[in-house]
Amino acid sequence: MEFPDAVQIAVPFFGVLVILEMIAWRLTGKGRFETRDSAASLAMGFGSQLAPLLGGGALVALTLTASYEYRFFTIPNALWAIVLCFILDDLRYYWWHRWGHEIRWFWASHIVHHSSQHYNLTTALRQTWTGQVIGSVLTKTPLVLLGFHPAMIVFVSGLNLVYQFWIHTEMVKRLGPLEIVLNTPSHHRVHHATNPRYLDANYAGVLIVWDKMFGTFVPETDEERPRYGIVKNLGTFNPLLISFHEWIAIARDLRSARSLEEAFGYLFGPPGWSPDGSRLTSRMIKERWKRIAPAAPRLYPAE
Amino acid sequence: MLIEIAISAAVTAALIAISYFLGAWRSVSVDESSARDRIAFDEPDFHVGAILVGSDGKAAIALDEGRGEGALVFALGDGVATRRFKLGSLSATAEKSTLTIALRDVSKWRVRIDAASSAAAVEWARRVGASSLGSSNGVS
Repeated sequence: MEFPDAVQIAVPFFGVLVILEMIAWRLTGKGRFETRDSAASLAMGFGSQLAPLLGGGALVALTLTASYEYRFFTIPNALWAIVLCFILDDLRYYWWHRWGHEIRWFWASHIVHHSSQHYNLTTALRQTWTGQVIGSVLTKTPLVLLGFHPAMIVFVSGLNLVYQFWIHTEMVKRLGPLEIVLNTPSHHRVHHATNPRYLDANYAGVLIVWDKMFGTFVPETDEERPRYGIVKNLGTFNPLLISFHEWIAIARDLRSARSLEEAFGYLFGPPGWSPDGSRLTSRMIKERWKRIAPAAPRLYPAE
Repeated sequence: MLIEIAISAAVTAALIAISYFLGAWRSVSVDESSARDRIAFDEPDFHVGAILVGSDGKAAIALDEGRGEGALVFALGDGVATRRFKLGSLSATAEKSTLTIALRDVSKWRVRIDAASSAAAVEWARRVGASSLGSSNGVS
């Protein structure tokens, strides 16, 4: 069975939908666009197409193909297998994505996607350039070892990515009963928000049930509108700095580390970790918010 | 492959152009209210005391002297960002009416605030600490 490149097929539709969303923004005032921000996001998306050509793509292909030689079972390329593979890959994505927020080594790559203060379809295209060389493929090897063909895994991962494109919008409010099962624009707005209430939540790719199962689900509330970005927003639209700023920060921290333990903390601790606790992790930000919010409830108004 | 890349680059450029022609090139102006709002959101335990808002609306600085800290708020497109720091930890330069604060941040090397007068710039450089006053204001 031949598996098409789902992302490649979807790219023209991405372009059309971005234009439609921009026009809808202009006509209705819903959502928010800024040209330089969109340009940065689109440039990141363009760069992410080129980045695998520098070796990351070959590394992924080689790892998956080699792992397949050691598979425990051989799963046929049947429809039921594709559906099962899609669901298991979505579970894999949940954990990969969660680690992308909880472990600085992975966050240094994933932060790119969160670095815009906007939330529109161009934000979906703000993709990392370093994702394929930091170990993401290792999360896919269990599926290969189970016996799913690498081409099938690449195909369902592509479908997952394509699904996630359209949920990056403020144009869609809620989707009724679909909100129970699927990751929706509302759920994903929470994921992109920096409001302490919403931090580190809703890691799902397609099925929001994983967040509900693993205790990371937070619903969007009408009382508190999400503010997007990262807890220390960037001061640049330069794609190179967007791509590498966190790696540069890690290098600086490693240079200042006084022990292996500190170096390990800087690399694999949660983002914001520091030996003396002088910086804030998400958990510390949430604790600070819980301390302060009751006394100052008007600090986070709906806009 | 090269053709695909060229098409992708052209589509990227076209989307940016469409965004521009739809009027999305927008800049926000930082005023006292927006600076306070952003600090309250990003740094809720920071108590804004004295505040200087640049007359060009590009940036502002606030002090929490009880904690010995400062917070910078600067505009980026239609968004704003903050940087919190210990007073005395950053280099602050006053040159004519411009207060320049150097950050150790690859995404924002320095923030310039138009303090409206050279005296105000000098005074704020002193308050921010670790100041190195520019020669053009005649103070050393």
